[in-house]
Amino acid sequence: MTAVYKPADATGRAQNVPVPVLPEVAKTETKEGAVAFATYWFQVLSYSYETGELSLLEIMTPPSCEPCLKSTQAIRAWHSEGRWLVGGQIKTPAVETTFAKDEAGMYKVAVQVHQVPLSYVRADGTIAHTDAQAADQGNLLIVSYGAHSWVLHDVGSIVG
Amino acid sequence: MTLFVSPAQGADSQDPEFGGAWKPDTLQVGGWIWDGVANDFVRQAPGATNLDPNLYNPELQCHLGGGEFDSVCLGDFLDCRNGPDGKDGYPVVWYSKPRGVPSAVWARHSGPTCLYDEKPVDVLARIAAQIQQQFESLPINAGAVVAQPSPNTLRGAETNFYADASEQQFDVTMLGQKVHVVATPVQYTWNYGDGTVFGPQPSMGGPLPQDRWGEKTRTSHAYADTGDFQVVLTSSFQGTYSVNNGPPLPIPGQGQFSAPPAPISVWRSITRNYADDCNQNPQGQGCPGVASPR
Repeated sequence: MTAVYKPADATGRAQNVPVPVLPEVAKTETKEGAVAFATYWFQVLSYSYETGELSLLEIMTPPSCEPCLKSTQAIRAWHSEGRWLVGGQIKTPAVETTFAKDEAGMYKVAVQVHQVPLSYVRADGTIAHTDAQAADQGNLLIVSYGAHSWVLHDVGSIVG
Repeated sequence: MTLFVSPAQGADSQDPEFGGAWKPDTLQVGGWIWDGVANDFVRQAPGATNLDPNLYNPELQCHLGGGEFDSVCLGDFLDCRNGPDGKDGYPVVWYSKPRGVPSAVWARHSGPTCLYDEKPVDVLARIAAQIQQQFESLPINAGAVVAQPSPNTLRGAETNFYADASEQQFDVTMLGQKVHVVATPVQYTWNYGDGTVFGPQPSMGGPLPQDRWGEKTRTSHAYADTGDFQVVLTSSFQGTYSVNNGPPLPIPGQGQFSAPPAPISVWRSITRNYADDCNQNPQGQGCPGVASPR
């Protein structure tokens, strides 16, 4: 019997959060592969917000990615010493790419990112702060393909 | 650029920082914009004005489409009777989507808020069409001009000019809707009155302590000739507008506003050296009662 997924709430942290699985197509240098890889990366980010588990995210994320660093620092801080985060789940309602490869071998993938607002819960169960719902964002992932897998190089925001 | 979000009230000093939500900074240098000609995303040019990254759309509250309404939702229907012109309005819920992702779907943004028109969507389009003109006709204060030194300065010396323009908010009524406008100064053009124009550029300058008057600053000017000049500051403002407390929407163009001319007199200074003081030589130049030479 599979354990039942239960999202975090004010009474406790999330339970049995499914670990994202990289689909086979995400290992191919195709348009579908680039889209599947970008989708997977956000699933991993979402998983990290829910669980505080960062190892998978950090393997896939370049240290030069500043917004990634900012998020991982907050996740680490709020998933330690008995604290936890509620919310933070990320959905990507639209993922698309022109699948145009530049001279440096980079592709760009545009992603609509929706995140459930975070609540920051202290070890005693009191809620320290709850974020407001932010508008969905447009993010741009810079990725390349090498050695049978996609690699993330940078994440930026689409501002117009 | 980093934005620091101040902690909420009641925050414990033991708490780690908040603000952990996923957010590639929209203020970062070189966000991406879609270039339709290149058919590619390109880095935004440095110093380019930031557009609102979102598109917005209002939907009637509780509307399920095709004339169907959610009956449970209607129990919480926002009361929009008796608007600014005494007209009844319609409650709308706002949706947004990031403009840079062509296939993005609408996601609930905010609301419900009221729109006061028989065709709420049309009235928004009409407000959008008029907002630029409305913006340019607002009594926006371009900022007072301050000169150091003033009202007199010396020929050839660096005279420091600065302005004190600030964000301004206005409430106006357009087509029977309450429209709230926030105007933020973004660029400044200095016309020093002697034929020199500096700008538009992003610095409004700043005050210098008196012991540093005469230093060159980003907005200082040295007059080559003596005389009386009128200094005119023109400030460019960027704005957002919000209809009946809806989401703030960007006003597409900037508005130009000029401050009242500030007069300045440019004098010359002449140094003469004298062997005597006025006790020894009461008729000497510069002594009391002695006409100054031209």
